[in-house]
Amino acid sequence: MKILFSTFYNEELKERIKKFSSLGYDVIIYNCHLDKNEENRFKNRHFQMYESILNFAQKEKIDIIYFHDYLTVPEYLLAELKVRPNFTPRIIFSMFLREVNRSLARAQTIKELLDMPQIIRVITFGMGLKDFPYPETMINVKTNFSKIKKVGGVFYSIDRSSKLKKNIPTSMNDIVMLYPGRWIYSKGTDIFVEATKYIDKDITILAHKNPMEDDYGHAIQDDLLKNHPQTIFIEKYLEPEKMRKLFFDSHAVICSHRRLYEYSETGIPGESSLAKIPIVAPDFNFFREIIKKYKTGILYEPENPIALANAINQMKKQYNEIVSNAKFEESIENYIKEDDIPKIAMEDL
Amino acid sequence: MKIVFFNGEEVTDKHLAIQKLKEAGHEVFLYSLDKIPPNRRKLIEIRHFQMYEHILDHAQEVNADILYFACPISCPELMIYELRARPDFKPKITFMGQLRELNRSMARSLCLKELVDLPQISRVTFSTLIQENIKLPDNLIKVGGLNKEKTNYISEYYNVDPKLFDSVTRKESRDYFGIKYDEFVLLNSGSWSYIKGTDIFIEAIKHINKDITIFIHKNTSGRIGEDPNFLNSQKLFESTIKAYKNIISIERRSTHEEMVMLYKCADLVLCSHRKLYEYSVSGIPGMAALAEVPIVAPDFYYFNELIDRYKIGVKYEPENAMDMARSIDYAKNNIEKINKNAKYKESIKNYYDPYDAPFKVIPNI
Repeated sequence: MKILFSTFYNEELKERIKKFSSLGYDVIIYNCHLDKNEENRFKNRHFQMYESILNFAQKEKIDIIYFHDYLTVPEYLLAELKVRPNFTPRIIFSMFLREVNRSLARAQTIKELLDMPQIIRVITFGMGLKDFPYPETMINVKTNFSKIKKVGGVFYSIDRSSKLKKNIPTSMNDIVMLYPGRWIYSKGTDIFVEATKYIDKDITILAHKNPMEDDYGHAIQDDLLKNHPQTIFIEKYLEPEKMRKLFFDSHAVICSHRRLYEYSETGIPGESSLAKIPIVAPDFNFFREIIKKYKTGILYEPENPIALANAINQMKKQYNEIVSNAKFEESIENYIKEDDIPKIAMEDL
Repeated sequence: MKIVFFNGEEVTDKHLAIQKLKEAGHEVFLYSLDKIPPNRRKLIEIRHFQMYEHILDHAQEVNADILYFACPISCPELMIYELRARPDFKPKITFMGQLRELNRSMARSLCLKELVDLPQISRVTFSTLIQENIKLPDNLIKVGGLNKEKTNYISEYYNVDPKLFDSVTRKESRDYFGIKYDEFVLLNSGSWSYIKGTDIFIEAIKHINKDITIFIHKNTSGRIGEDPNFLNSQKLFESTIKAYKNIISIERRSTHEEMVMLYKCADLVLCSHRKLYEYSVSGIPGMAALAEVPIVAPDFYYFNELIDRYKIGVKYEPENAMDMARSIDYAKNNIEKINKNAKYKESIKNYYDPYDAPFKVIPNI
């Protein structure tokens, strides 16, 4: 079977392609942005990316198009498919449910897309949950769920035999709470910084900032240090293994995500469970389901800095109890390695 | 009538159109992205697809009779699904369409057709450079065209009052920019972008007759700002003007008065647009015609149709820098003949005052 592995990134994908090929498929990689005949078209016409991919698939007599990157504008793909009723390659793509959760219009698009005969499988993710609920918008538009395959969660380059060991002071007077990743609006960094005004002063905040994306600028870092001097600040992109070490070197992790993150995917619950540390997270899906099911942390009222501060302080006070009740290992049972997604996607087809 | 007047940003030019609507007795609410509260605006930045959701919500909240998009709907695919999700949406929508995108994509043609067929859409208006016998893109024809009763075509100037062209002479314009009266001036005006072929123009400069004074006006206006493909345009601009002695330049957002003087002081105006621009509009031919200056433009629709019909300039092979330079030289050598044959006034006879746009676009007002 001839598979088109479509990606928009020029990243190292050899291992994944090799794995895909080892399943017995003839895999062709295609990045339309690197196509010399096509690249200039997209400079002003992003909506034509799918046109290019579908044209290429048809020309190369592809059996299945596998979209490696998450589908971000399903309306464009749907529009492209509607004008090619005789398009023979089948399509597999992955998506997050968070955008569907907020928009009835987008749920309708997804429904129509799933009804197209060319779409044979859609992969979506649940932060560790396998049987998570679908957003109401999708239920309201009567989506055909049979083509959707739920994947619990994804670890990038997981190595469960990791030799990482905790290297943190054990005294409860020196609890270290990690705030990791990009400082962006949807992750509510401003909410977290506001909350630091109210947290116990003996908590050490390990504030990691991935500089690749930043919605706030340097002023917010100054605010953080002013609000909570007991802060260690790291501004650096870290490779997955180094990032993982930060989790191992902390007692707990803080999530300040905004409500718009509901039904989305983040690596934090998985990485925390791998390091056997609990999380402080907003009370919405999938954080809610994860924490209720596996007792891996504390929930607070979303987008409320005081509630977040109270939850952080509560985490400090009840730390031993929370850690002893948490089912860390169970909570990552449904995780797979990112490289295994194609295999999961192709199952039973 | 209650009209929600949507524009990307709160531009002064459009305020005059709003004023005219108000004088005609309509209740007008200007709604722009600037008006959206910061939190919701942030959401739109993250979820671009929800922009139409916010605009439609607003029109519904204020019980508007008409939702007038004074700017093109850049993603008709998203608008279709937003409207389908609200079958009871009452305000009638009018919007501007762009033929250039339909020219390239069958999918987009079909989307636009579907969008126009929705009962909430009362009118789609295309800006064109010609007014009669408009040829439609093949893709649009293949999907069956658009509902004719809901479609119209307009031509407009570059948002500049035509009367301004009578208020200043060529000599005054040259004095203003410090250009001698006997110099032959080629004007290149506008923002620097890929679609406008700035890189092709820069390549052509190497081959243009050195007797020609090249006047570059790098326009810094526009809400999008720099084209991401020209992020180093400042460096490019500086190195270009340093490299050639026959270049003069200004870099700013010009007033209408200065825009008029730019065109009035030119002998020739260049359009360096890429093929992607086919079926699109540009303010340049209208401004040049008002100043009675010929254009050098790529040989594709609408530029070629405009030049063939009204003899207002010289064509060159699109995206070919050498041919662009050759055509500029040809135009310089034949400038008297071109000016004698050019039907400048005829080429803009059906253009209308941009401040009257809503009255031309919105049905029954």
